Amino acid sequence: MLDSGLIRAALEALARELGAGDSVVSAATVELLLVGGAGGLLAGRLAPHRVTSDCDVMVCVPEEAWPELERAAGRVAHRLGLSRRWLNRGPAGPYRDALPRGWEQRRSEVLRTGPLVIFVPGRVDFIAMKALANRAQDIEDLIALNTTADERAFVRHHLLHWPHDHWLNSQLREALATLDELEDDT
Amino acid sequence: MTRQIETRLRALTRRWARLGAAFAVSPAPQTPDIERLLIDTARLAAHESRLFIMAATWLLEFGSLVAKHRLRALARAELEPDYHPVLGLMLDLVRQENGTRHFNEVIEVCRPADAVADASDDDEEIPPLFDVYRDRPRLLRRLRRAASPVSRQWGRLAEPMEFKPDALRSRPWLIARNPSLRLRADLGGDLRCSILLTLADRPEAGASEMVLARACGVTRRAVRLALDQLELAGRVLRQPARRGTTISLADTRAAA
Repeated sequence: MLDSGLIRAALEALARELGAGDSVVSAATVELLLVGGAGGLLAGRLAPHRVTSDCDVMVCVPEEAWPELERAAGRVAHRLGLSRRWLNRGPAGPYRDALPRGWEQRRSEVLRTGPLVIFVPGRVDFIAMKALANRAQDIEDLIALNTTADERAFVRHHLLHWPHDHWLNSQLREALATLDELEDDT
Repeated sequence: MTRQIETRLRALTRRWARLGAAFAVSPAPQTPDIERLLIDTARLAAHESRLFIMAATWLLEFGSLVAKHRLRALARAELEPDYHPVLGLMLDLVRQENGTRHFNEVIEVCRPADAVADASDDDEEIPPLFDVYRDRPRLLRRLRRAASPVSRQWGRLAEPMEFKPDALRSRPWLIARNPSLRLRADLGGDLRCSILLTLADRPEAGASEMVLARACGVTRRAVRLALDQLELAGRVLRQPARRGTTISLADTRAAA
């Protein structure tokens, strides 16, 4: 289980772990894009009663640094008493497509420590991912985010011009329906 | 959501945080009364889906710590009918997930929503479990398609449950932070556990075996047998009174 303080502490411990080694990573900068609950908490977008148990990494640059990061995260988990999967590429993986074009320009840096630079997605990108995930808790988060008409229009445009044919149409339609409901709420 | 509900939700999440649920709030200063926490959670879960998910996940991992007879008695005596389906669904989901029989007697006293009986071929009448779907017809249509069979049976539509065991602290953490739970663990949440907790919560329930049996929702014979064991273990005192026997805790701190 993680709160924003512990997320920061764990990422700083991870950076120290990487910096201590004689490795590719210790000599380079590694950028991580954190999504899900951890990203939302670090960005201050989610209410404190939001629960999160892990850090979902959607993007790791350079990609080849990931195996070493994963090993170092295992050592940090042991030291801080965290779940072994506290840093993972879990459900975020398939959602990489969910990020609207231009997300790199909208992301925010929330932590720079040792070789690690941690980013979170911009608000509209966060909203797009929440709309696509679309579970009860995601809809609650969307309502709590108080999305603006411009943000919803941006995400709607993204979903209507969806370039990835491996996603189910029904999933996109349902995400659009959720945005329509938020429109009606305002 | 009103300010009052938000305040109650925050207090509730602090009690769950004390029991190891990963709500990012400061934990309550004392170990909560687990059965009352479950009753309060059933009352408020509609406002916050994560509360329901975390309570069910906690029960999946630590359900044997729940004094089942006491929970059944509280559900019967104090839980309003509107919330019976919420508690029933939560316990039923746990039962389906890990096959436990621990909650069978509690599930039996929880009544499904009236809408289940009223619903004909479709479930148009069945309301959603979570408020976020209320008055949002598009979301509700989707939920009606995706709702789990067990949620339909209880009359509170919800999508299939996704438990979050990684969002719980470990067993050693739970017991170290809440040493009074050791007693519950030792007794496995059976009738002895309910008797001790009932006496701690309402000492007047020890006026006689009959009163205690009523408070725990079991027969007098069952209470007497459990009291025999508790007395042997030095956990309760039985004293002759003008009418029958009074019962009290031998150590009032033990069941706190």
